[in-house]
Formats: sequence, C-alpha cells, structure tokens
Amino acid sequence: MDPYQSLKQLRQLLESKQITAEELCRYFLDRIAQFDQKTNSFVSIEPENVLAEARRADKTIDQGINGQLTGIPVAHKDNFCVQGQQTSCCSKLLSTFIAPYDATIVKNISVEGGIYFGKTNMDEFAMGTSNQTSAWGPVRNPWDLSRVPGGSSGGSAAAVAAGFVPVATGSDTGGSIRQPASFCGVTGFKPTYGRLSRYGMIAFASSLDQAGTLTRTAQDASTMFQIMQGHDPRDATSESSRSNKRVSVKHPLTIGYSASLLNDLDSDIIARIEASRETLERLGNKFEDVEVFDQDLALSSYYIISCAEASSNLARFDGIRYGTRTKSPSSIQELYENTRSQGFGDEVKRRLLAGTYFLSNNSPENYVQKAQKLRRMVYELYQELFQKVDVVLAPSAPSTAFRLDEQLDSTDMYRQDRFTVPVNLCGLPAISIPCGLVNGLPIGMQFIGPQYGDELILDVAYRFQNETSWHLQRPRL
Amino acid sequence: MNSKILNELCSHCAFILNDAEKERMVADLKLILEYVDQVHSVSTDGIEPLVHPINIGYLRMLDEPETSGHENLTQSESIEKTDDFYVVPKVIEP
Repeated sequence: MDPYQSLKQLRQLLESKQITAEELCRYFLDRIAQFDQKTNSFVSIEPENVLAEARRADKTIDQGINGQLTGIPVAHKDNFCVQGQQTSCCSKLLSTFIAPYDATIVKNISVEGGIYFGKTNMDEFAMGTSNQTSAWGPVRNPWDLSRVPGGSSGGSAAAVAAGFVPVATGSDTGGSIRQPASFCGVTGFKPTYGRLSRYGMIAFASSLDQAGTLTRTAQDASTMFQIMQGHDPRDATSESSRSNKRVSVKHPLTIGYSASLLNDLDSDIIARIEASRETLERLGNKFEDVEVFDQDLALSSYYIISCAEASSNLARFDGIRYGTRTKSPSSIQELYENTRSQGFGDEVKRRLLAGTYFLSNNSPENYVQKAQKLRRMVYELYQELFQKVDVVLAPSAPSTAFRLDEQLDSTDMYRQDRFTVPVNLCGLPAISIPCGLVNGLPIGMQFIGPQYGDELILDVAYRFQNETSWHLQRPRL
Repeated sequence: MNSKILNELCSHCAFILNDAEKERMVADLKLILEYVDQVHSVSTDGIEPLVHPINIGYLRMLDEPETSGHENLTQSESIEKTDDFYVVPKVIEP
C-alpha cells in the first residue's frame, strides 16, 4: 500500500474493492501509531470511531451509493468544530471543550462520505508561523525532525507530508495554510474569502480568516474545494448562491511577476522559482513585470487589523459558558482573570494585548483606521494589477523550514508571513505548490488570483504539477 | 509602551502577569510597535478605510422575536449551570 496516493486513486481502489475502507483506515491508523510520535501532527484521534465509520462506509460502497469521498480519511485542523469531539484550538483554555455541532465544511465533507480521522495540531488559536505555540507541544517537520513544519496549520501540513492522511483541512488568516505547505512540500489552497463557510471555525480575525486544504496535489485541492464550497445561511459573509462573479478558467495565462520580491531570498530559492517560471513559459504562459505593495507596510497593516479583531473575538473566552474555568474563584473578576491568564499562552496574550492597544485610547494615532486605509491601498493595487494579468506568481515563504531551536523574536517570526498576508487583506484566492528542494528541504511558490478566480489558480497549479514532480517528493520518516 | 500602559491593557484583557512576564511583554510589545509604526509614514489622506475584503452589503433581518430552540445545545458545554442559567460567583452581595 502506497500512503501517497491521490483521492482519485484511493477512490478507484475502494470502488473496485481492491481494498475496503476499513483496511484503508487501519493502514493509515497503523502508520500514525508508528510514526506520529516523531512529528506530533495529531492532537486527538479515536481509532475505534474511525474504524466504525469505515465499516459503515464499506456497507455504503457495497450498496453502490458512493459519495465523492466515501471511505477516504480526512483530518481536521483543531479549530474546526466536529460534533462530539474535542475542539481545543490547541489551547489549554479550550482543552475540555467538546463541540456540540459540526462546522459547515466538516459537514460538507461528511455528507460526501469523508471519514473523520482526527484533529491536527496547530499554533494556539492559529496565532503563529512555526506551530511552536500549541499547548500540546510543537509539531516536527517530517522532512527534518529538528525543524518546524510552519504554521499555524503545521499539524495538517505535516500529516499530509508524512502520508498519515491524503487530505487535511486548514485555515489561513495570514498565510497559515500556504507557509506550512511550503515548509512541508505539500499543496496548500486558500480560497477567495467567503467561498467556504466560516461557521464552526473558531474565529481569530474574522475579516481575514478563511478555511482551506492541505493536499498532495492541486487536483485533490480542487476536488475538496468543490465539496466544501457553497453558500451557508449561517455565515453572513459566505458567498451568495446567486453569485455570478466566477472568473473563467483559461489557458495560456498572463502571469504577473515581481523580481523585487526575490531581493533578500537565498540564491537557491531564487533559482527554484526562476526555473518554475521557465516551466510555466514552456507551457505557453507569458510573464509581465508587476509592482507589488511594500511588504513591510502590508504586514504592519495586517498585524494591526488581525490583533485588533482577535482582541475582540477572543473576549468570549471568559470561563463562563465553555472551556476551562479556574478553580474556586472568589469573585467574578478573579474568575475572568485567572481563567484567561492560566488558559492562554504567551503568543496569544501578546497579540491580544497588542490588539487592545491598537484599539485603545492609549495609542497616539488611530492605528486600526490607518491600517484599514492601507488595506484599501493594497486592495486597489491588486484590483489594478488584475486588469493587466490573470494571476500573480510569488514565493510562499522567505526561507525553507527553520530549526525548532532557532531564536526568532516576534517581528522576525511575523516577517515569515510577508509574502502571504496581502492575499488575506484583499480576500484573494492563492495556492502554494512545491517548486523544488533546497538542501533537502521543500520550498513552495504561490499563484495568487483575482477574487473568485479560485478555479483559475487551481488549473494553472494543476498544469504545473503535470509538468513537474516536486509535489511527488516524499520525506523519509 | 511602558509598565503603566501594560497594566491598563492587562486590566482590559483580564490578564494577570507576574513581574518577569510584564518585563518581557513590555519589551516584546515595544518591538512590535516599533515595527508597525511604519504605517504612520505613509499619507493616506482621502482614502476610505477598507474594513472587509468583500462587499457584503447591509444584512437585514425581520424584526420579530424568535428563539433558536438550541438552548440545550448551546448550554451543553457549560462549565456550571442550574436549570437554564450559567452559575458564576456572586456578583452582588446581599
């Protein structure tokens, strides 16, 4: 059994009865039992429930009633509610929380027969770029266990890279799908804001948060996207079912490219992106130089907005209605303070304090309004840019995976996101795909599309993967 | 950023930090503020703030009282409750 098969291949195996869903799930469970102590990708998994669900899938297959994912394991990032399952956001504060309902995307996957396989590790409340802020310990990169997998969807990226599951969900507020995809050598897809429902996805920064997937290929990402997408009346920001804004798929494309983005990158990374550019040209695409917004300004704007929104969103975790509560508080104030102080980790506290500062009267100027004006400038620049080009090609991350013991201060860590945050500020779709190995570690690049150009970037990523084999490289565990 | 401002922020966030944590947090927040302060170096006169990336318009709901009927579901994860009420330490002493 090859653990790195595509969704299509797995489906063929199941439908032709070369393997049963129970055998398939048993195989992946065994693999996780054997290797996950090395990577710490999963934070909860219930083998008996998985196997019971697999046996039900086998009965369905026998009856010939197949969904697109019947019998296929799918892992969920720990910030998606799965009914009856621990949903902790990898925070001590939610360590006892059992979700009373399914997130919409979880339900959509389940309706198509996907088997809930467990929860993957993540940075606490999705705040981080290295998966080191999880209350359940860091995730280790399957390509080199001394290195981080990226974050915040590091558990999902590592799980797919390690061949523990064919697909996992993730969320991307400022690059949390694409940067770990780059570090782990997998395909990370962040759709247009609103095309996937946020209902049941625990909020970090509501105007930036977007669900998505970590898969091996763009084709698998496309399959998952078709299953997960759609209007959800329970999410007021989800795309209207009457939307006719979709950008048509076409080929060849005019691809925007800014050499200035590569300025401070390692020469080996530049070489891989330049080689990918040549491959795309060979496929008939044309390149046009484009100007992009100042990365540090966009990043600053992003951090102000995301921290401000987080300070509001995470006020709900007060120890009253759900999650953990401090023991024997003598007053309501002590209940709030002790619960939150004991429950949140340092990075979450840092961002909530910063966000509160940006929103408070203490700040010398109105940080949030200034950041929102800059957000408009980034948005308008991309609007103009997509009048000239179909998609943009950019690096996904400024480096390969860094070491777990590397000492990066807050702003160095935040700068990991400098290629990814403009996409979230503008609600654009983007997909990170592997484009090479540098010193034995994967590196990715991303295609960024106009709003509702999801299918367009999936298509160009698919065509690139048809011509290359970087997405087929595997780590040795 | 200084310890006085941090104390106020902690009060707003309902956080209690010890002295070592406070010292570290002031240093970290200073670094973050130094970095993001560059937003003030750009003129944004005449530019409308963008609060959301997609045009979601104004959402309207019928102004009719309704109950979700999900009280049991939403209270299923409550830490401590009596009947349909969440239990918390006394807020007002008799």
